[in-house]
Amino acid sequence: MMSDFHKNVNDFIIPNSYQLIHNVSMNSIERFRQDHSSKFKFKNLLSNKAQLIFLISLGVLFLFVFSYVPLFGLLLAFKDGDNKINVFNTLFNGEWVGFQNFSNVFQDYNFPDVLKNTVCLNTLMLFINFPAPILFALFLNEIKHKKLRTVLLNICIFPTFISWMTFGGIFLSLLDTNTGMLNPILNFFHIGDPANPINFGEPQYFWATIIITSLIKGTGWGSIIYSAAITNINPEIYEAAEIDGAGRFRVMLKITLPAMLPTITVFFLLSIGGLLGNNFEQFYVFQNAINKSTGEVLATYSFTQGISYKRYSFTTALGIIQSFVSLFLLLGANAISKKITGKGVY
Amino acid sequence: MKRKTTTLLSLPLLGIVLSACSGGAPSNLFYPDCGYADENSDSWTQIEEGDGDVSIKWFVNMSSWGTAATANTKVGRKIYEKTGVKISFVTPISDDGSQLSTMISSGKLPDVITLSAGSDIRIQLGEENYTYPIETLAEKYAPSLLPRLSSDVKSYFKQSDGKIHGLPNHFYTQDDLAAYQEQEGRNLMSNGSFVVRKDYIESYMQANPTATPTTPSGFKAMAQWVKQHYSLSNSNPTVMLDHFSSTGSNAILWLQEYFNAAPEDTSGNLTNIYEQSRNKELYLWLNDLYRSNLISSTNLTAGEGALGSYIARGMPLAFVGSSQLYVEYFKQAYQSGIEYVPLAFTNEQGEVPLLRSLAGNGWLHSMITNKCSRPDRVIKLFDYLWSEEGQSLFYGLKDEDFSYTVEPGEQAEKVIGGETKNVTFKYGLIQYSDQAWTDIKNENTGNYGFGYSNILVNPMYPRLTAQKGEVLNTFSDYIGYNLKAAMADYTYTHNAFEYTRDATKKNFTDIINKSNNITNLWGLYTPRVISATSEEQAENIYDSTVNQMKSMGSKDVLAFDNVEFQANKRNLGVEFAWPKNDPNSNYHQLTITSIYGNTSYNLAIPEELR
Amino acid sequence: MIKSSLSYALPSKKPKKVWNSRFSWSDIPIYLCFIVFALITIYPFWYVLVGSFNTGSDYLKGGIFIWPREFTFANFEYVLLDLRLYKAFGVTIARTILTTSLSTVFTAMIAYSMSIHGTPGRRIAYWINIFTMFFGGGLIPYFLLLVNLGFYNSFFVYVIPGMYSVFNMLIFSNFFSGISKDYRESALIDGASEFTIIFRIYFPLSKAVFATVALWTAVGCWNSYYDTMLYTSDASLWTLQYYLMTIVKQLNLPPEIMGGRTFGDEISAQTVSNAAIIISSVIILCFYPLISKTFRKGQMMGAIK
Repeated sequence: MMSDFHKNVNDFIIPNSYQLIHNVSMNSIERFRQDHSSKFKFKNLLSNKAQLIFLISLGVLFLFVFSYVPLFGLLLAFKDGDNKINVFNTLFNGEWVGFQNFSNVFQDYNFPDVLKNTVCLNTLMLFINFPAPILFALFLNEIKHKKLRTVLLNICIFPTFISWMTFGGIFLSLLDTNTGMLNPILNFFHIGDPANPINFGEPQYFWATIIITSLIKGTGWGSIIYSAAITNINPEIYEAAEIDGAGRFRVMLKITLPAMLPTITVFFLLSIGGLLGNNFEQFYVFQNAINKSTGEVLATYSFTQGISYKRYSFTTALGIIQSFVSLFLLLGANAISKKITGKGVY
Repeated sequence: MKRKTTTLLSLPLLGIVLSACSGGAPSNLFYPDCGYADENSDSWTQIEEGDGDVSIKWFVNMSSWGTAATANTKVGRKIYEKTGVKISFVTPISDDGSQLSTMISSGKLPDVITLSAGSDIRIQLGEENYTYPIETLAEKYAPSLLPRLSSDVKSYFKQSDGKIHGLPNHFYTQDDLAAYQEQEGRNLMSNGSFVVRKDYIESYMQANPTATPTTPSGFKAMAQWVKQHYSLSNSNPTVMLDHFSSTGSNAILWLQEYFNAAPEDTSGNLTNIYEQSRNKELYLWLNDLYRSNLISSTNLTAGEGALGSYIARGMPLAFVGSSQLYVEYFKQAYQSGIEYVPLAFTNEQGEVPLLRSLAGNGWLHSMITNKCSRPDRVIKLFDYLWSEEGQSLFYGLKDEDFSYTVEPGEQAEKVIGGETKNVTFKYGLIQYSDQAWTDIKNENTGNYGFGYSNILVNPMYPRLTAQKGEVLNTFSDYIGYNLKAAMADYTYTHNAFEYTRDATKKNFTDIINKSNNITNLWGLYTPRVISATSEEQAENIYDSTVNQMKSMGSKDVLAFDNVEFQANKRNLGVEFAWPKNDPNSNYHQLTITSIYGNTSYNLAIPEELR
Repeated sequence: MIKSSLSYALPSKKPKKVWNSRFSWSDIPIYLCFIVFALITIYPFWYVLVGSFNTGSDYLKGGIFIWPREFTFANFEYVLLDLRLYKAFGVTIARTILTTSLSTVFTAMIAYSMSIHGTPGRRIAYWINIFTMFFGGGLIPYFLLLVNLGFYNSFFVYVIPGMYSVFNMLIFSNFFSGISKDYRESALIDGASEFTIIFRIYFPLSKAVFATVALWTAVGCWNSYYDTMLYTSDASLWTLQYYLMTIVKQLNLPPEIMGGRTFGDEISAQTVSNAAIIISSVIILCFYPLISKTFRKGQMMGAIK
């Protein structure tokens, strides 16, 4: 029985619930036993197996309605559905146009910009925002005062719970050209001209804004997972290293980091699969009339084209392209990872 | 495996089920079998005894529509009393059209929709049976409405079934325009405005008496002088354009008129304004101003609220845009001693500008949707709002809040341009009662519901009935008036250019698609041209955008629209829509007499209102 | 199987010995970096707080960084007099409570059935679930579906479509499969139904997981505005963040008169925006100790975001 639960820490699977059960909830088990030892609570109209089937099919049914039926709507990409008032009618009775909508997507004058922004920004964020929580966790581990550590962690995690509208609004206020804080700070360090304050709404600042706000909002929370992996390391290993005279950075590199590797791998693969997706809410806050050249990504572009401008077929075709590419990326990354490290997402 | 196949097979089955209950497909319009009326008296007096109240939801597709006509005002209560209809207005958050689109595709429409009269969606809704034809409803339930519909309205909004599907507001009929000319002897005011700060321009003219700040180059010289003389920082929006949305800024529209970019060519055909050389001049001039730090980049990203606060603090030297939206901010500036006056701006050749006036073929259009359960009551409501009594609600309640000094249709003497003439007052002349006037002066009109709370308003009504030919009750009214009045000589009526597209043509949705794409294209690239870092780059961006526009089918759109344009002109009986092309128009006699326009039209703000 | 990283570290029986408690010079830059990072995280909130207490016209002159120059409550008055704020609050609270409770219980129940090895069709159901994470209909088909099901402009669009989440299901089922099978087997011998087992045994044992998933769901509900944009058109269905968006994006000019009181230049679009941001963050701040406790209790580490 014990072997079931003392899993190898490198397998990054949960749950050491065995200890939990023993330490915490014996009461409920006992209560249950007392209830049922003497009397039947209720007659089982359905056998247990039927109940399980019921539950599992409930899940499948829900998914069927909300995830599989919409697949039927993908047909809209092959019909002439732009600017139509009655979309349902178009879906069932509309004119077939083959791959016309797809070619519209590829020939659209915005598409190169949108694609470039999405892919480049996500790749940049992969290189910057991905290591950040790891480094955060690594170095947080170095802080000795437990109280300081929890205070820091609490502060840094707070932005995660704020919505993007709130957080974005705060930064818009901070970056305001005339009343914001950032221009005076830059001027203090002799960057920029006080007479000519920088307007951070301009296209060239968009990527930096997104990356920095993502960093602030996500690093704290992201580091928790990695911290968990770190705390699972046996302290005796550290003691042994200290005896051997290993320096702090050596320890980090040889002991701490490898322990986090499985978690890192999974997240990395998932990030690659999500390379074409973006958080709509974050981008919408920071977009304005002039930074679309660097700020329009697939998520916001689908929204404007599909919902505001009613180009339903166009947007559906765009969505199909996006899904296929994401799928391809995920499968590809997974296959590569399996070849190299023997581990994958599935 | 079995589960998988059954799952896959049931997909199309569900599809068939769904098609049966599709949300959006409208069926035949339902006409209730009650509420009939005859033409002997007003339809709203013919509501049956037991027929109780009706509540409707009215969606107005304009985020800035104030829901002033709530039931808690005198006017609102009167409307309810007469028609028994409780209205709750709904407005969207933003003007990007997304809310209207999602509402329509969901099929869950409110009882009444009001949207832009020029939009293609209005036409589509009518064609596809989402809305009731007004004449049919009126014949059954409100025959008294039929004679009230002017032939202009009926012929302009006619759909393929020969009927109109809604009622417009701000529709300027030819009769009303003629009556205005007779009563006032001048044109209506312009739609856009170009104003400058009075003390800045006066000090400039004092220092440079021979300068001409009305040409693009002269204006730039003035702006640079002002900037240097008053030490305005680079982040100060010296020349401020109206705010930029995803479809661009309306400042561009007005500047096209000041620059005389021709919307119609000399043979009377519609032109693509972006292919006009004057338009390119305009764009390059804006870019020049931007590079000289006279247009700030905050102008391109700021929202209306921020722009308003700049105006209130008197920061800009000049503002181009729809000043009527910022009147409160101009008022705040005035109260701190900063006054803005119109400028008679022209293009480099000094050609007299042609500004479109407020007259047009409707601004908003209200339609009764197929989801309304009591269209018979709603059409009576429309009848009431459209009638003269409904229009007079602008002034409140008769004999309580206002009275007629001249009865409708009577003649009286009036001084026009220095001469005394005998004028027929089509709708009469109205003055407020003492109580109402006191409340207006004290800005205590919250519970009256005055003003434009009638969504079906004909704005010529308050104009023709007001003592001065314009609605001038409050301090803000005077401020707004003086921002435009001086340029009234240079306006023309834009009705001929406001044509509707023919929805029965096969490529109708294709043209809509192309046209929307082109609008969005320019909305995206206009700021880029303006903010280009060199003249060469600005020109390149402009040229490549024009080429892009052509490859997106602008020619097809132009050909399609030209057909409608010619038909519209025929209906109005004009050969040329643009006065410059018309050899008989009085445009050719116009000159710029002063850089401030015709200041005799300005009105001093009465002491009592300050 | 996607292995979730929900890890449950043991509440230690003996105090963990920090391996290197000596202070070394390389500590200083580390401490410094963290303090700077913490400051960068906190200062923006302070900045907005200060800005919201300043008069509008004075704020435009700039320079309000540490303390308000011209103190006023007008901005807060303005926001608090707006009735739409309270409606939005109500909608958001109702939605959060309803969705969180329904969603976690529903998903957990299904996760239970997925975690029991004896359930027929488990593998197929698993793949059906996983597939939806890779491929979906996208924006428009999903929108059309919700409209067709009658969810457009209905409060339940916030509750029903989000009731089952494959991701959360995986988290729960991973946890459940770690619970000793003995409990279930002995309960079955006693003749208990599966529902009894779920509610009497498994749920009480998974309080920690529930807390995490509930926390994430609740925060997600509280903070979203995208679904309001897409699926509603009625002002009575605005969520708090959507209301905030109208103010932050300054899409409308603030009317002078709100709730009967006239505001002049005490307010401006920017300062009102600041006040609204503070008001909407206050709730999270109030609940923050509770949130903090949740993930510090036994050093439970959260799920993948």
